[in-house]
Amino acid sequence: MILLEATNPGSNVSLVLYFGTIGMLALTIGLIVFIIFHQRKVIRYQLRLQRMEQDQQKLLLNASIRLQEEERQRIAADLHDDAGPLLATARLYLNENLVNLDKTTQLQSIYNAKQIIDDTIQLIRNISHSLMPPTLKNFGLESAVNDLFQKISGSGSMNASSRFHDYRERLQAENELIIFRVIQELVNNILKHSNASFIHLTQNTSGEKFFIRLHHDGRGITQNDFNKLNKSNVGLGLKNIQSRLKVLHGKIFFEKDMSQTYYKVTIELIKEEEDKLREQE
Amino acid sequence: MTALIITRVHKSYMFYFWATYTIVEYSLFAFFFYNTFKNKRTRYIPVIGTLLFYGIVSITFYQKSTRNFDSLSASMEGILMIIYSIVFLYGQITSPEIIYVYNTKRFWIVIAIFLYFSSTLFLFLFAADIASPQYSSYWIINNLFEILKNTLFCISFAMKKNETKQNSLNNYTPDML
Repeated sequence: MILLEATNPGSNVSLVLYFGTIGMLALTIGLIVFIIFHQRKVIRYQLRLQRMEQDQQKLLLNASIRLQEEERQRIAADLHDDAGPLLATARLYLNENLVNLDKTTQLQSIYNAKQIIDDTIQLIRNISHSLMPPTLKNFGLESAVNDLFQKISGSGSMNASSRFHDYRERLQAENELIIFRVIQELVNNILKHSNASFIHLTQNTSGEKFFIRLHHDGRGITQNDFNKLNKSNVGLGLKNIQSRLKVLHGKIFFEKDMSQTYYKVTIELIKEEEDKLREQE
Repeated sequence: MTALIITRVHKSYMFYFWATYTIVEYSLFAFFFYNTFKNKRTRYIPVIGTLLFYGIVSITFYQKSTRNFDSLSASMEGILMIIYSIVFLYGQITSPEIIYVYNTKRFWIVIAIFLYFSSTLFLFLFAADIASPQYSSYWIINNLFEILKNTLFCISFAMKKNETKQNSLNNYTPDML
């Protein structure tokens, strides 16, 4: 009936009303359908992102567990293969004292046992230092990094230097250790893979941000490579860096220098985050 | 019930009846939207709209039309309701907290309001220009969408109360979509 009246040539109002109503209805339904489908799309995207993040977390956790296990195995091997035989030998020398009553031989075996025990003490000290460098604990990150770089330079294989521009106030001990481990891992990677002739480390701050930059002239990786390696099953060390920095809410950037000659690694931390962590503790 | 009242109201009072009906209906829906909008900025929209609406209604009351139906107020109500519905739906797609929009009671109420007022907008706009004998044949649009609106309201009321709480992102997996 409405349609009949609308098609009546004399009824302009009816026509407008008819098409207006149909148009409005179509627009409304279209809008509702669009919103429902758009929302479903957004949810799917969010879920995919969430899953990817979970996978990434799982990878990092696995890497950190594997690294921890490797570290334990290394310590166990050091103790078992080096300290164990040394102590067993010292015991043998001391046993000989009980059997052999000749004074000169006894003195000689005591002396030998003492030498072996000294070696063992040194070995255990080395193991302990590899777990927590004493320089880092007593004098801070700057001294520990300088010490590390001096050792590398001293080996003669590479020229390593570091410069801390603004490190008057030390970070928290735990955070210093995390940063030191990250630097160690990066330096290790450079030594192993890059074939570089120099490494230069600089530290500075800008406002609330704390930066550590590493330059080297060897083969390096860019941020894309880092992201790819992080998502793959290889690159355990890089994953470890990532998970360590996550604790500090820090960021790491791998890039090629403007001159395209050097590779640059930047570690960025926010001092506020450090303060927050300190307050939490 | 409205139809029953219409048959009993004297023709000279029809204008007042429709105007009062529009005011009550608008006030209830506007209050609903005011409560629904969580954002402080969007909450101003129904407040400003209501002031505008009451202003126009006062004018139409003052210049009493010879017609039975208060076209201007009804059209104004329709336009404002459409605006509020669009604001609500926009809020739903921009808010990351809300998951499936159709699982909430409020969504179905808004859809009912949106569909009803957008379908009857032209009818109310042209109510003054349509001759009385034709008017009843057009009024079927209003009746049809009134039924649809009430059906959607029923769907909303039949929904479980705490369904919005279950819609956390953690409860869904991509396979469920």
